[in-house]
Order: sequence, then structure tokens, then C-alpha cells
Amino acid sequence: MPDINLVPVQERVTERFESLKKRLSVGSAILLVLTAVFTLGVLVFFTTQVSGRSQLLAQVEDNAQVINSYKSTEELLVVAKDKSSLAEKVLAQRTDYYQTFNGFAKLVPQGVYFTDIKFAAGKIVMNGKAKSSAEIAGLVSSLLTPEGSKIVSNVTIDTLTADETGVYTFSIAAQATGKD
Amino acid sequence: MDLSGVTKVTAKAESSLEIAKYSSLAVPVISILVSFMVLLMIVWPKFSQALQIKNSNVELAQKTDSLKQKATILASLDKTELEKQVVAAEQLFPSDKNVFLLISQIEKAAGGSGVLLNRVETAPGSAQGSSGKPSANPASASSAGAQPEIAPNVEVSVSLTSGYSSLLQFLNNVLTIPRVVSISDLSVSASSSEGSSQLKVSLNITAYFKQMPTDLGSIETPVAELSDSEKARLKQIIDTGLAAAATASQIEQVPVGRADIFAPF
Repeated sequence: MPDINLVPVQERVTERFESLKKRLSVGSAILLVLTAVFTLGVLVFFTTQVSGRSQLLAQVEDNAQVINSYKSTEELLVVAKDKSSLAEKVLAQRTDYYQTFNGFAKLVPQGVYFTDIKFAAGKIVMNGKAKSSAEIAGLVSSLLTPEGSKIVSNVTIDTLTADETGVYTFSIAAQATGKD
Repeated sequence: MDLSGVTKVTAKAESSLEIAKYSSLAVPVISILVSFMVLLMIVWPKFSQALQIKNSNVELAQKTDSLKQKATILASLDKTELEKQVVAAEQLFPSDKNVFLLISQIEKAAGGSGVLLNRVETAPGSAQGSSGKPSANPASASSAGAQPEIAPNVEVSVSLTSGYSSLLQFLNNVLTIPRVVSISDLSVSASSSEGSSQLKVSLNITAYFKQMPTDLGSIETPVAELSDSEKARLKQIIDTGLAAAATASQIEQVPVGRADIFAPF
């Protein structure tokens, strides 16, 4: 009885084989086409990049030649820039004492004079005399104004003494604002 | 009847049929294998190589742009103007200590303002350093100063006596000499005698110097143009007269030769 089904089984096997063969053929053809397309694409891409590289190298060479022709100009510019940029740094950091004294002159009350002023390591120590305590108060409040803050900050009255004539001797310390 | 021969023949025929049947698959299978081999051994390496070239082209394009930019900047510069700016920059920031010129400039500033110089003191160190060669003892050249980190410097301590307005004039004169200087440790005290308007002043004047750069760097090094403030400062020096500044930058010549070198002058 099993012989009855032999023919259809064989046919099915053959059919499956034919189908496999067909799929393999189609697949291999598609793969071949894709391989060819990829190969062509990569070839075009590669050629484009190599050509671009050649052009860029030529441009680099041209620009290098131009730059070399201006070498003496570049030397002058490098020297001028090097020195003037350093000069700018120093000038930006230094204290303009001429302006500082002019600033003080506008802030100091009429009844106050200094006996000595010392600027060192960013600090200012001012010793002086004043007609009255009000004059010193005026000096301190002047130093604390925005105008005074451009010159000094952290104002401290270290000593304040009055003699029998009513003249006050003071010592004021402050931080020099900004530079130096 | 012996059918073994027929069976053998049939088996052989079946085997041949099987071989023929499967050999028809050889072409697609081989073509698939060849495709994979081409993809793996030729296309992929070439693609990787092309990608590397692409990346390198990006860098090369940037390099080309920066070189083009540099070439454009250099082409736009006026060489004559630059030569003047270099001379002015040398006045501003000399290549050597030039301490005698500095002292001469301080003396001129004092003379022009009416202050009396009591003492001028400096320790410039190696004399060779003042002739444009590197300082033999950099510590002495940059021993002190407000900005020792900026550049080598030489310091001159000055003591003077003056009135208040003369002091202000002196400070202004010193701060406006062509060479970049800074003033530090300024101490001003009124003369001890009552009613005197004289001030005793001591200060340190720090003057900077720096040798000219000797190396331009690689061709790819971007070129830095002068800023507007730098141009303005150099122009100020140029406008005040480079010729006058050049004269001022020379130390006064003195007659030489004495019969008795111990005789007082």
C-alpha cells in the first residue's frame, strides 16, 4: 500500500528541488547584480575621493607658494604682533599713578592733607592730617563713593588720633582697585 | 534469475542522475560565493580606503581653507606700513635691556618736569644682555616688577624730591615714554619741615624687553593680525615721529681718552 504514494512524494521532492534551484538562481543573479552595482559605486566613490584629494593637494601647494612669497611680510607681522601684544598686556595691567593722584585730588576734602602715601603690592597706605573728625569722615565717604571705588576698595582706618589743637592724625589703608 | 547486475546498473544510473541533478545548482552557488568573495576581498577594503581618503580630504579641505585665509591676509597687508610698525614695536618693547637708554629717558622725564633726582639705582646684570644677546642671568633681568610673568624686565629704583605738580608731570612723562614701563612701590612723603611743599618720592620703574621671535612656525600656523588697539598704539608712536624716537633711542656720544684716569673731572 505505501507504494501508492511514491509517485507524488517523488514529484514533490523534484518540485522542491526545482524551486530551490530557481530561488538559488534568482538569488545568485540578484547578488551578482548587487555586487556589480556596489563595485561600480565604490569605484566611482573611490575615484571621486582620489580626484578630490589631488585637487586639494594642488590647492595646498598653491597656497603654500603664495604664503612663502609673503614670508618677509609675515616675519614683520609676527614681530610687530609679538611685541605689541605684550606691550598691551603690560599697559592693561599697570597703574596710571598720574590718574590715581588726579582722582585723589577730586576726592580729598579741603581740610585734609596727606603726609605720606605708599603704594605697594596692591595696597595703599595713606597717612595725613585733618582739621576735624568731620573732614576725615568726608574723606572716607568720598573714598567709598563710586568715584572713589575706582581708585581704592576695602578702606580701613588703622589709626585716628587728635592732639590738643584738635588736629587729627590718621592712617588709612586700602586696596588699590584693579591694576598692578 | 540473477537481478543483481540490473540493480547495480540502476544504482549507478540513479547516482549519475543525482550528480547531474545537483550539478545544476553549482552555477548559482559558485556565483554567490564569487559575489561574496568580491564583496569581502575587493569592494569592502576599497570602500574602507575611500572612507579614509574622504576623512583625510575633510582635514585637507580645512587646511586648504586656513592656508587660503592666511594667504589672503598676508596679501592684504601693506609691507611698508608693517616695516614702520615693527620699528615702532621695537621702540615700545625693545629686544634688549637697553638700561642706559632707560636711565637717559628717566633723566629726560625728570628734566622735563622739574623734579630733582636724588638717586637712580639699578642692577641690570650682564652687560651682554643690553646688546641684544640673551641675558646671562635671567633672574637679575626679571628680579622684580609688577608683571614678572609677562616678559623679562629691568628695574630702576628712583628717589627724587619735587613739588606736587612736578611729581605729577614726572609720573606722566615716565608713563608716556615710547618704551613700555610700569611704576611700582611708589612712596610719597611730605618734607618734614613745616610749611614746605616739597615731597620726597621713591619709586621703582620696571621696563620690559623681549627678543625678537626667531621662528615663524609651520606654514599652517594661523597668522594673527594686529588688533585695533595695537595698531592705534603703534600709529601713535609712528605719528609722534619715528625719526625723533630713533634719535632718542640712541645714547649720547661722549668724547673718549684721558691722560690721567684718576684725575677728578
